[in-house]
Amino acid sequence: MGFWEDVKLQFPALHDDRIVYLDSGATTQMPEEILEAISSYERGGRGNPHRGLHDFAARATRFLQESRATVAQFIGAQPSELLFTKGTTEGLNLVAQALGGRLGPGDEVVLTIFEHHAMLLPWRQLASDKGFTLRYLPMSENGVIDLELARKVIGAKTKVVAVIHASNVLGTILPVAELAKLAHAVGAWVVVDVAQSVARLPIDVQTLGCDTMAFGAHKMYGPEGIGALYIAERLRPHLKPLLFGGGMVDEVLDDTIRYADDVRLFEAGSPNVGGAVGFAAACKFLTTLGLERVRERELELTTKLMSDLAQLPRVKIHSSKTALGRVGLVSFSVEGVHSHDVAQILADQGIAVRAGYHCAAPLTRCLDLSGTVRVSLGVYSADHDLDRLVVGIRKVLERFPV
Amino acid sequence: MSDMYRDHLLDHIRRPRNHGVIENTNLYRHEANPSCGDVIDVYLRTNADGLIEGASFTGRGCVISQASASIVIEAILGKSKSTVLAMGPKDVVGLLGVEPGPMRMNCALLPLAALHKALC
Repeated sequence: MGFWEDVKLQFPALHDDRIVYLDSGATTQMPEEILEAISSYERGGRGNPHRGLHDFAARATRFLQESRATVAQFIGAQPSELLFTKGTTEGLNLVAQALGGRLGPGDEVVLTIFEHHAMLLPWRQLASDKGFTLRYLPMSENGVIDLELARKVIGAKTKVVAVIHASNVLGTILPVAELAKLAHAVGAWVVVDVAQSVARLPIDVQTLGCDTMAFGAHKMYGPEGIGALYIAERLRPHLKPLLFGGGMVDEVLDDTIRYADDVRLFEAGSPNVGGAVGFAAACKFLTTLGLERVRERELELTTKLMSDLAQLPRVKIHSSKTALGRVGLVSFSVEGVHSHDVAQILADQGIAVRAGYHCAAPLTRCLDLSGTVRVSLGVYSADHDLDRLVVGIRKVLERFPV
Repeated sequence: MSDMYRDHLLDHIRRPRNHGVIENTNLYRHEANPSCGDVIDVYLRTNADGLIEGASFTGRGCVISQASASIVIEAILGKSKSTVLAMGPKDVVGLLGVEPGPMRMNCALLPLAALHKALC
């Protein structure tokens, strides 16, 4: 039994092989050790952190603090720089509301054509409310971002550069660190969405050079409903909370409110402790596997996937042809068949992929008006999953002859 | 293999009925399904008695949405506006002859939604 077969065995949802799961870009499955970590916290007695003097409350406070430290460490941040959210979307909205809320006509925010709706829509909404301008970096000839062009677009008017680290449609890894340098040179803040890359590449906030970064646990083999937002110390005074309520204040008097001066400010309401525990367990799971090893395995499988797909007639690969420079996520179309029909026929054969616009309409529309079919790998993916995919696509071709 | 792709549905894809833009329409509606990008445009001509004299569609999308458009529009020709407005998901599923399931129901119902909005 090889190393990766053993890894797969840890995932109860995948035991019986009834489903070939190639949709980890949408959400990942959970291994026993993470399920067990959550269950063990919940069974041991729940409490509301910082809100009680009894043992269960103290225990919950400790679990929450330890979880925060673990997740922060996973991305090279301090615990004081990491707040829990309900997911990537909430984190990106919080940042956009706070930074975009004070922009106006004449200001510019630079995004890329690769953005997910979670990044794109908050900024589009704010731009139309506040009158500032959005500028988009297009896809370059080689399928990434032209840094020479970026150098011209990012300038004195630029207040924020908001960018996805790895495209959820094509898998393309964007040159975040280089864009961050250009942004910081003109005094702009750098916002990064690492939802798709955080479980696939070693990530360090210092190396990326971002001021804030959002991600979610459910694409990292952790639970749904919890995410994290990294906020660099230097940025925190410029942000304001989305939610107001319990736990975010130091003192509430009749005529004044003294707000917490740390991450609690952004975490009004009872925290999701079980989620935080699962999130931390997910970070430990990935750390134990080793992100370098995960990346190496993913490159190997992606290379096979690309060559398998390239041999099929009528299959057009939208992602770049090499595995390097991207994460293990590939978009393609089948000539003459709508992406949903491809996904349906694959689903009927027990193969789970994603189809459609992938919540990134501007990018997907310019690739294929029928949407694309997306295959995304996880740590449990194996050669034979890809073999079954090929058989599945051949069925699609048979069912829909040209 | 799913029976979602039965021959009669595929026949409506290969030879869509009432496809295109008819003349002298008095009602029109564009609808889209944001998740997959299914798009449908319906063109209707109703007479003084509220009967649907003419109907056609154009669109782009998956088999379910486009076959549903062809089948539903064929079924409503000559019917009264109130009859069409009274049609619901069960009627569409009955006409399609397949149960699309929860994930594809939106695709199947997109044409009827467009017709309802055009007639309202």
